[in-house]
Amino acid sequence: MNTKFIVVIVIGIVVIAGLLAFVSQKVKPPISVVPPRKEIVPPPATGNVDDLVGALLKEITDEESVLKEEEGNASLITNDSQEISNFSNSVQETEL
Amino acid sequence: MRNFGKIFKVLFEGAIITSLLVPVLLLAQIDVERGICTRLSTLSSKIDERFANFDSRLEARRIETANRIETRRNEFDVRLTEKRAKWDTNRDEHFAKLEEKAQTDAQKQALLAFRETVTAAISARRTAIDTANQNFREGIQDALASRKSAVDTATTTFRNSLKAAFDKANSGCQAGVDPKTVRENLRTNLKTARDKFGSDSQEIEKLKTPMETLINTRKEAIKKAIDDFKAAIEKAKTDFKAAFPTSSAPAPAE
Repeated sequence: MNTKFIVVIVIGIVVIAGLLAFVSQKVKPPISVVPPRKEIVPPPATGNVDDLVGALLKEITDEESVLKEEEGNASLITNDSQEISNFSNSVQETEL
Repeated sequence: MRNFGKIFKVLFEGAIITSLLVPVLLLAQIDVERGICTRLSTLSSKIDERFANFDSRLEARRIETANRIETRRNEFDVRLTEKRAKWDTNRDEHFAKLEEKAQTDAQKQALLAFRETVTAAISARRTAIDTANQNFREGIQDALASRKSAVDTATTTFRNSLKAAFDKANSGCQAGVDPKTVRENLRTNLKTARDKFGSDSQEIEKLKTPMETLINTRKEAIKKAIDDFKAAIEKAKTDFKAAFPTSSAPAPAE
Protein backbone atom coordinates (compact mmCIF):
# COMPACT_ATOMS: atom_id res chain seq x y z
CA MET A 1 0.00 0.00 0.00
CA ASN A 2 2.79 2.33 1.01
CA THR A 3 4.79 1.58 -2.16
CA LYS A 4 1.76 2.27 -4.37
CA PHE A 5 1.18 5.53 -2.53
CA ILE A 6 4.80 6.64 -3.08
CA VAL A 7 4.67 5.72 -6.80
CA VAL A 8 1.47 7.73 -7.24
CA ILE A 9 3.02 10.72 -5.44
CA VAL A 10 6.19 10.58 -7.59
CA ILE A 11 4.19 10.31 -10.84
CA GLY A 12 2.01 13.21 -9.67
CA ILE A 13 5.06 15.39 -8.96
CA VAL A 14 6.61 14.56 -12.34
CA VAL A 15 3.35 15.39 -14.17
CA ILE A 16 2.92 18.68 -12.28
CA ALA A 17 6.56 19.65 -12.89
CA GLY A 18 6.14 18.86 -16.60
CA LEU A 19 2.97 20.94 -16.81
CA LEU A 20 4.62 23.87 -15.03
CA ALA A 21 7.61 23.73 -17.37
CA PHE A 22 5.31 23.62 -20.41
CA VAL A 23 3.21 26.56 -19.18
CA SER A 24 6.28 28.66 -18.30
CA GLN A 25 7.64 28.11 -21.84
CA LYS A 26 4.31 29.22 -23.31
CA VAL A 27 4.11 32.31 -21.12
CA LYS A 28 7.64 33.48 -21.96
CA PRO A 29 7.55 36.33 -24.49
CA PRO A 30 9.34 35.58 -27.76
CA ILE A 31 12.92 36.85 -27.76
CA SER A 32 13.32 39.50 -30.39
CA VAL A 33 16.82 39.20 -31.82
CA VAL A 34 16.45 41.67 -34.65
CA PRO A 35 15.30 45.13 -33.61
CA PRO A 36 12.25 46.31 -35.53
CA ARG A 37 13.16 48.42 -38.52
CA LYS A 38 11.66 51.84 -38.89
CA GLU A 39 9.78 52.28 -42.13
CA ILE A 40 8.95 55.79 -43.25
CA VAL A 41 5.72 55.98 -45.20
CA PRO A 42 5.91 58.40 -48.12
CA PRO A 43 3.53 61.35 -47.74
CA PRO A 44 0.58 61.50 -50.16
CA ALA A 45 0.91 63.71 -53.24
CA THR A 46 -0.84 67.08 -52.82
CA GLY A 47 0.28 69.10 -55.81
CA ASN A 48 2.24 71.36 -53.51
CA VAL A 49 5.95 71.76 -54.26
CA ASP A 50 6.78 72.10 -50.55
CA ASP A 51 5.21 68.73 -49.90
CA LEU A 52 7.21 67.23 -52.75
CA VAL A 53 10.43 68.65 -51.30
CA GLY A 54 9.35 67.38 -47.86
CA ALA A 55 8.97 63.92 -49.40
CA LEU A 56 12.45 64.18 -50.91
CA LEU A 57 13.89 64.93 -47.47
CA LYS A 58 12.00 62.03 -45.89
CA GLU A 59 13.39 59.79 -48.62
CA ILE A 60 16.91 60.70 -47.44
CA THR A 61 16.07 59.80 -43.83
CA ASP A 62 14.57 56.51 -44.99
CA GLU A 63 17.61 55.70 -47.09
CA GLU A 64 20.02 56.63 -44.29
CA SER A 65 18.41 54.05 -42.00
CA VAL A 66 19.51 51.33 -44.44
CA LEU A 67 22.90 52.86 -45.10
CA LYS A 68 23.81 52.63 -41.42
CA GLU A 69 23.34 48.85 -41.50
CA GLU A 70 26.18 48.33 -43.98
CA GLU A 71 28.66 49.69 -41.45
CA GLY A 72 28.03 46.65 -39.24
CA ASN A 73 30.01 44.51 -41.68
CA ALA A 74 33.18 46.19 -40.46
CA SER A 75 32.85 44.52 -37.08
CA LEU A 76 32.82 41.08 -38.74
CA ILE A 77 36.45 41.49 -39.77
CA THR A 78 37.62 40.48 -36.30
CA ASN A 79 35.24 37.53 -36.12
CA ASP A 80 38.17 35.11 -35.80
CA SER A 81 39.78 36.87 -32.80
CA GLN A 82 38.69 34.19 -30.35
CA GLU A 83 40.13 31.36 -32.47
CA ILE A 84 43.46 33.19 -32.76
CA SER A 85 43.54 33.89 -29.05
CA ASN A 86 42.81 30.23 -28.28
CA PHE A 87 45.50 29.13 -30.71
CA SER A 88 48.06 30.96 -28.62
CA ASN A 89 47.16 28.62 -25.78
CA SER A 90 47.76 25.49 -27.90
CA VAL A 91 51.10 25.24 -26.25
CA GLN A 92 51.59 25.48 -22.51
CA GLU A 93 55.09 25.16 -21.11
CA THR A 94 53.54 23.78 -17.94
CA GLU A 95 52.60 20.62 -19.85
CA LEU A 96 56.25 19.62 -20.08
CA MET B 1 49.06 24.78 28.43
CA ARG B 2 46.54 22.37 26.96
CA ASN B 3 46.45 24.49 23.77
CA PHE B 4 50.21 24.45 23.50
CA GLY B 5 50.07 20.68 23.52
CA LYS B 6 47.51 20.67 20.70
CA ILE B 7 49.58 23.07 18.59
CA PHE B 8 52.67 20.98 19.16
CA LYS B 9 50.78 17.87 18.10
CA VAL B 10 49.55 19.49 14.87
CA LEU B 11 53.00 20.82 14.02
CA PHE B 12 54.54 17.45 14.69
CA GLU B 13 52.07 15.65 12.48
CA GLY B 14 52.54 18.26 9.75
CA ALA B 15 56.29 17.77 9.88
CA ILE B 16 55.91 14.01 9.51
CA ILE B 17 53.56 14.37 6.50
CA THR B 18 55.88 16.94 4.87
CA SER B 19 58.93 14.75 5.41
CA LEU B 20 57.08 11.92 3.68
CA LEU B 21 55.78 14.05 0.79
CA VAL B 22 58.95 15.95 -0.08
CA PRO B 23 60.93 12.93 -1.30
CA VAL B 24 57.92 11.69 -3.26
CA LEU B 25 57.50 15.09 -4.95
CA LEU B 26 61.22 15.37 -5.62
CA LEU B 27 61.27 11.92 -7.16
CA ALA B 28 58.25 12.80 -9.27
CA GLN B 29 59.99 15.98 -10.46
CA ILE B 30 63.14 14.09 -11.32
CA ASP B 31 61.01 11.53 -13.15
CA VAL B 32 59.31 14.31 -15.18
CA GLU B 33 62.69 15.76 -16.10
CA ARG B 34 64.17 12.38 -17.03
CA GLY B 35 61.03 11.40 -18.92
CA ILE B 36 61.02 14.42 -21.18
CA CYS B 37 62.89 12.57 -23.91
CA THR B 38 60.41 9.72 -23.96
CA ARG B 39 57.45 12.12 -23.92
CA LEU B 40 58.64 14.43 -26.70
CA SER B 41 56.87 12.51 -29.43
CA THR B 42 53.57 12.45 -27.50
CA LEU B 43 53.77 16.16 -26.70
CA SER B 44 54.57 17.05 -30.28
CA SER B 45 51.65 14.93 -31.55
CA LYS B 46 49.33 16.59 -29.06
CA ILE B 47 50.34 20.03 -30.35
CA ASP B 48 49.95 18.88 -33.97
CA GLU B 49 46.43 17.74 -33.14
CA ARG B 50 45.63 21.14 -31.64
CA PHE B 51 47.00 22.82 -34.74
CA ALA B 52 44.75 20.70 -36.93
CA ASN B 53 41.76 21.63 -34.77
CA PHE B 54 42.72 25.27 -34.99
CA ASP B 55 42.99 25.07 -38.77
CA SER B 56 39.53 23.61 -39.15
CA ARG B 57 37.97 26.05 -36.65
CA LEU B 58 39.65 29.05 -38.28
CA GLU B 59 38.58 27.94 -41.74
CA ALA B 60 35.00 27.43 -40.53
CA ARG B 61 35.02 30.89 -38.97
CA ARG B 62 36.36 32.46 -42.15
CA ILE B 63 33.67 30.81 -44.25
CA GLU B 64 31.02 31.89 -41.74
CA THR B 65 32.29 35.50 -41.84
CA ALA B 66 32.33 35.57 -45.64
CA ASN B 67 28.81 34.14 -45.77
CA ARG B 68 27.50 36.63 -43.19
CA ILE B 69 29.01 39.56 -45.07
CA GLU B 70 27.58 38.29 -48.36
CA THR B 71 24.12 37.74 -46.87
CA ARG B 72 24.08 41.15 -45.21
CA ARG B 73 25.21 42.83 -48.43
CA ASN B 74 22.49 41.12 -50.42
CA GLU B 75 19.87 42.10 -47.86
CA PHE B 76 21.19 45.65 -47.88
CA ASP B 77 21.02 45.86 -51.67
CA VAL B 78 17.47 44.50 -51.75
CA ARG B 79 16.27 46.89 -49.04
CA LEU B 80 17.92 49.89 -50.68
CA THR B 81 16.47 49.01 -54.08
CA GLU B 82 13.00 48.54 -52.58
CA LYS B 83 13.17 51.83 -50.72
CA ARG B 84 14.33 53.70 -53.79
CA ALA B 85 11.54 52.19 -55.87
CA LYS B 86 8.99 53.14 -53.20
CA TRP B 87 10.12 56.76 -53.20
CA ASP B 88 10.36 56.89 -57.02
CA THR B 89 6.70 55.90 -57.22
CA ASN B 90 5.75 58.48 -54.61
CA ARG B 91 7.70 61.21 -56.41
CA ASP B 92 5.97 60.38 -59.71
CA GLU B 93 2.65 60.90 -57.92
CA HIS B 94 3.80 64.26 -56.55
CA PHE B 95 4.89 65.40 -60.02
CA ALA B 96 1.65 64.17 -61.56
CA LYS B 97 -0.30 66.33 -59.11
CA LEU B 98 1.89 69.33 -59.87
CA GLU B 99 1.40 68.78 -63.61
CA GLU B 100 -2.34 68.93 -63.10
CA LYS B 101 -1.86 72.42 -61.69
CA ALA B 102 0.43 73.71 -64.46
CA GLN B 103 -1.77 75.71 -66.82
CA THR B 104 0.47 77.93 -68.90
CA ASP B 105 3.36 76.95 -71.11
CA ALA B 106 5.69 78.86 -68.79
CA GLN B 107 4.45 76.90 -65.81
CA LYS B 108 4.76 73.62 -67.69
CA GLN B 109 8.27 74.59 -68.74
CA ALA B 110 9.21 75.52 -65.15
CA LEU B 111 7.82 72.24 -63.90
CA LEU B 112 9.73 70.28 -66.54
CA ALA B 113 12.97 72.06 -65.58
CA PHE B 114 12.27 71.44 -61.89
CA ARG B 115 11.62 67.76 -62.50
CA GLU B 116 14.80 67.39 -64.54
CA THR B 117 16.84 69.10 -61.82
CA VAL B 118 15.32 66.93 -59.08
CA THR B 119 15.85 63.75 -61.10
CA ALA B 120 19.47 64.69 -61.82
CA ALA B 121 20.08 65.53 -58.13
CA ILE B 122 18.64 62.18 -57.04
CA SER B 123 20.70 60.35 -59.62
CA ALA B 124 23.87 62.18 -58.49
CA ARG B 125 23.13 61.43 -54.83
CA ARG B 126 22.48 57.74 -55.47
CA THR B 127 25.58 57.39 -57.64
CA ALA B 128 27.72 59.03 -54.94
CA ILE B 129 26.24 56.79 -52.24
CA ASP B 130 26.63 53.66 -54.36
CA THR B 131 30.26 54.57 -55.04
CA ALA B 132 30.87 55.15 -51.31
CA ASN B 133 29.32 51.76 -50.58
CA GLN B 134 31.36 50.05 -53.28
CA ASN B 135 34.59 51.61 -51.95
CA PHE B 136 33.63 50.55 -48.42
CA ARG B 137 33.00 46.98 -49.53
CA GLU B 138 36.28 46.82 -51.40
CA GLY B 139 38.00 48.22 -48.31
CA ILE B 140 36.47 45.49 -46.18
CA GLN B 141 37.58 42.81 -48.64
CA ASP B 142 41.11 44.27 -48.58
CA ALA B 143 41.09 44.35 -44.76
CA LEU B 144 39.89 40.73 -44.65
CA ALA B 145 42.62 39.67 -47.07
CA SER B 146 45.26 41.58 -45.08
CA ARG B 147 44.09 40.01 -41.84
CA LYS B 148 44.06 36.53 -43.36
CA SER B 149 47.56 36.99 -44.70
CA ALA B 150 48.83 38.36 -41.35
CA VAL B 151 47.18 35.54 -39.37
CA ASP B 152 48.53 32.88 -41.73
CA THR B 153 52.03 34.33 -41.50
CA ALA B 154 51.89 34.54 -37.69
CA THR B 155 50.57 30.99 -37.28
CA THR B 156 53.14 29.60 -39.73
CA THR B 157 55.93 31.33 -37.81
CA PHE B 158 54.51 29.94 -34.58
CA ARG B 159 54.35 26.40 -35.97
CA ASN B 160 57.86 26.59 -37.38
CA SER B 161 59.21 27.88 -34.06
CA LEU B 162 57.52 25.05 -32.18
CA LYS B 163 58.75 22.48 -34.65
CA ALA B 164 62.29 23.85 -34.33
CA ALA B 165 62.01 23.73 -30.53
CA PHE B 166 60.94 20.07 -30.57
CA ASP B 167 63.60 19.19 -33.18
CA LYS B 168 66.23 20.79 -30.96
CA ALA B 169 64.95 18.91 -27.93
CA ASN B 170 65.03 15.64 -29.87
CA SER B 171 68.59 16.29 -31.01
CA GLY B 172 69.56 17.07 -27.42
CA CYS B 173 68.05 13.82 -26.21
CA GLN B 174 69.83 11.83 -28.91
CA ALA B 175 73.13 13.56 -28.12
CA GLY B 176 72.79 12.60 -24.46
CA VAL B 177 72.24 16.11 -23.11
CA ASP B 178 70.98 16.18 -19.52
CA PRO B 179 67.15 15.76 -19.74
CA LYS B 180 66.74 18.56 -17.22
CA THR B 181 68.57 20.92 -19.60
CA VAL B 182 66.57 19.62 -22.57
CA ARG B 183 63.35 20.27 -20.70
CA GLU B 184 64.35 23.75 -19.58
CA ASN B 185 65.48 24.71 -23.08
CA LEU B 186 62.28 23.39 -24.58
CA ARG B 187 60.21 25.33 -22.05
CA THR B 188 62.10 28.52 -22.84
CA ASN B 189 61.78 28.02 -26.60
CA LEU B 190 58.07 27.27 -26.37
CA LYS B 191 57.51 30.36 -24.25
CA THR B 192 59.49 32.50 -26.69
CA ALA B 193 57.41 31.16 -29.60
CA ARG B 194 54.18 31.77 -27.72
CA ASP B 195 55.19 35.31 -26.73
CA LYS B 196 56.11 36.09 -30.33
CA PHE B 197 52.75 34.81 -31.53
CA GLY B 198 51.06 36.89 -28.82
CA SER B 199 52.76 40.09 -29.98
CA ASP B 200 52.02 39.23 -33.65
CA SER B 201 48.35 38.74 -32.71
CA GLN B 202 48.28 42.15 -31.07
CA GLU B 203 49.63 43.69 -34.26
CA ILE B 204 46.94 41.91 -36.24
CA GLU B 205 44.24 43.40 -34.00
CA LYS B 206 45.58 46.85 -34.86
CA LEU B 207 44.03 46.36 -38.31
CA LYS B 208 40.87 47.71 -36.66
CA THR B 209 42.24 51.24 -37.11
CA PRO B 210 42.03 51.21 -40.92
CA MET B 211 38.45 49.99 -40.50
CA GLU B 212 37.57 53.15 -38.58
CA THR B 213 39.09 55.20 -41.40
CA LEU B 214 37.03 53.20 -43.87
CA ILE B 215 33.83 53.82 -41.93
CA ASN B 216 34.54 57.55 -41.57
CA THR B 217 35.42 57.93 -45.25
CA ARG B 218 32.13 56.31 -46.19
CA LYS B 219 30.19 58.46 -43.73
CA GLU B 220 31.78 61.63 -45.06
CA ALA B 221 31.09 60.66 -48.68
CA ILE B 222 27.44 59.94 -47.86
CA LYS B 223 27.09 63.17 -45.90
CA LYS B 224 28.54 65.15 -48.81
CA ALA B 225 26.19 63.41 -51.26
CA ILE B 226 23.21 64.32 -49.06
CA ASP B 227 24.37 67.91 -48.45
CA ASP B 228 24.91 68.44 -52.19
CA PHE B 229 21.49 66.98 -52.87
CA LYS B 230 19.77 69.22 -50.32
CA ALA B 231 21.49 72.30 -51.75
CA ALA B 232 20.46 71.34 -55.31
CA ILE B 233 16.85 70.72 -54.26
CA GLU B 234 16.65 73.97 -52.31
CA LYS B 235 17.86 75.92 -55.34
CA ALA B 236 15.52 74.05 -57.68
CA LYS B 237 12.58 74.79 -55.38
CA THR B 238 13.43 78.51 -55.25
CA ASP B 239 13.75 78.67 -59.05
CA PHE B 240 10.51 76.78 -59.49
CA LYS B 241 8.57 79.00 -57.09
CA ALA B 242 9.84 82.08 -58.88
CA ALA B 243 8.46 80.74 -62.17
CA PHE B 244 5.37 79.14 -60.66
CA PRO B 245 4.30 81.44 -57.81
CA THR B 246 1.04 79.65 -57.09
CA SER B 247 2.71 76.27 -56.58
CA SER B 248 3.33 76.85 -52.88
CA ALA B 249 -0.32 77.25 -52.24
CA PRO B 250 -2.10 74.17 -50.93
CA ALA B 251 -3.66 71.99 -53.57
CA PRO B 252 -7.39 72.34 -53.95
CA ALA B 253 -9.42 69.71 -52.13
CA GLU B 254 -10.74 66.94 -54.37
